[in-house]
Amino acid sequence: MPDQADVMDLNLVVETPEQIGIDFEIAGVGSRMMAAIIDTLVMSLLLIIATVAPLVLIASSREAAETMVDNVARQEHVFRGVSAVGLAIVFLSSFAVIWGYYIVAELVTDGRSPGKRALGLRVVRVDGFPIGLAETVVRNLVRFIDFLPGIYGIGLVSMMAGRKTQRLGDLAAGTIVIKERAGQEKGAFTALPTPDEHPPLPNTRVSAALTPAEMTLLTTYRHRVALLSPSVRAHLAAQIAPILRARLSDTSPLDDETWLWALAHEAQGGPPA
Amino acid sequence: MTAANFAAKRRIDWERLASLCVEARRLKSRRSGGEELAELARLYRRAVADLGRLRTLVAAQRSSEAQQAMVDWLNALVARAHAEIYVARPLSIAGLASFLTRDFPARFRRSWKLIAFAAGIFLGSTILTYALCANDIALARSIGGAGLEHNAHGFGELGRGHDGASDVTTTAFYISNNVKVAFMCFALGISAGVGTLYALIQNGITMGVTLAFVHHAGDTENLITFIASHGSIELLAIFVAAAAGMSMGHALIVPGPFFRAVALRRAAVSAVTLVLGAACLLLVAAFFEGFISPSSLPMSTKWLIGGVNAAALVLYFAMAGRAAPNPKLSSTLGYITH
Repeated sequence: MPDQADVMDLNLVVETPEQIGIDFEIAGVGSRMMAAIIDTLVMSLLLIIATVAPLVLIASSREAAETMVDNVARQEHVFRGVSAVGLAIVFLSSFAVIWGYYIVAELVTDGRSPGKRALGLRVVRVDGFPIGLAETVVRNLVRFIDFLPGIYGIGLVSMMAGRKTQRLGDLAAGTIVIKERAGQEKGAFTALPTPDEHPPLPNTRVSAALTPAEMTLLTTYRHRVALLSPSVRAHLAAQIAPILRARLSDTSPLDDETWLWALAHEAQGGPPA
Repeated sequence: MTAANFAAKRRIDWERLASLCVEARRLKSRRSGGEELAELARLYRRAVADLGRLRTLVAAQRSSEAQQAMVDWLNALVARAHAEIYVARPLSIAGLASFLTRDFPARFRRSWKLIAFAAGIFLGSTILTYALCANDIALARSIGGAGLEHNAHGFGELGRGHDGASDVTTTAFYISNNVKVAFMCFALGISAGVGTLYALIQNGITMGVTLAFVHHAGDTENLITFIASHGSIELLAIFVAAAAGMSMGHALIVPGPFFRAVALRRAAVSAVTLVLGAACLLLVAAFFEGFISPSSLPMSTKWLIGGVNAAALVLYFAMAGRAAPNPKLSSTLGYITH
């Protein structure tokens, strides 16, 4: 059976200025690393383009100079000029890609660089506001420390040490990476899901057979269950239901959660609301 | 009232809000989108209240998967609308102008102690190393190694001046290399400032040893002439970037009334002004370092340019941005909160 921590969603409740909390699900280390791999691939591709394109320009300029200019000295002059500019472009563009890729990628997409977009992640401030220039500069300059001593060693330790999966850059910038839920993407919203009607009552025996401790467990479950996230609720039901089913020799085909809910209401003496 | 009844009553507004969110980016770029954006803000505020109500209703009833999905959907909608309404101030030319004429110099004056401290550490290491090595070339070699000695002779040569097409290349190299050093000085500050201090001392020692090698070769005058035009700008920029890194370290060591995490965040985010300002200074310095410093201009001209640059720096950091702030021209780094 998985540990409780394995299924517990990492949630961050952000208080809006309107005093109502919005739930954000914090992204885990795994999806963060996957996003980083994709972003690194995109960055490498840009880096190759940034260095190869000017070098191709330099190489082709020699031929062009030879065919278009008669004077050998002039040819050499043109070639040198093109080489100097080409090398300058190599320096500047590779610098811009290495230090600027994430900053620009996060700035123009509201915190969703290509890797994060692919994994459905987004960087936001810890107070839920979108990131601005200052935050993205801080988190992406400190990224170079997080990357040490290679493949985000320090960043991984930092992400696993804290409760909000923040690497050092996130801590310094005051940002978190959240998982955007279905329907939250930039595209269209799916239609509002409408709730189904009450599920059929399970055919359990009268719960007088339960001990007071088991009754307390059931009552507590009934009161708490609405406040839990679906995965935690299912996990809890899977732990409690088998015990009570054995006690009541129940053989109904209902799933644990539905069965437990119906039992809790039956024990209280009322039908499910 | 059940959650389903409530949702049925409110869903028209929610779905209108959803479609406005999808359109939001287009609406914002259009002048005529104002009315719809106001509607978006109004619907958002109602949806936030609805979210609270729906949660209560669902919690009071049997919470089925489908009802939870409804809460999640509304939560996602509110989160999305929140992101559309509370936005970071967009980058603009006016923001850049305000940054250069006001924010950066004002921030520089507020951080002068840290900047002076960084300068002291760097120049102290340089002077100490030079004093030890100037007449003890064996010590210089043991610290600096053969590679640095070779480079030092190159620097000595540079001051003599030359004409060539490679100035564009060297300028580009100086920009990328020096801005990288500045960025690293800042980022290393996350180590409670220790990394930044290490970088300052290391670079200070390197400069001291280089000066000793140049002195040994009898090229001091050439080197000073080479450095004259850009040196003040370049060194100051590195001190500014290091001060930005050390302000993170300072926040971690002396957080004041805040939690360390909060103090760090406040210090780091506000130090971005210094880091970006340092990068701007290095762009200017690289232009002089690439085109003026190695040129065949006479020594006196280079010294004159160096003097003008130093005076301009003093004037800029002492005077710029002292007038009362113009609210219309506030910085790119600020936030619109409503």
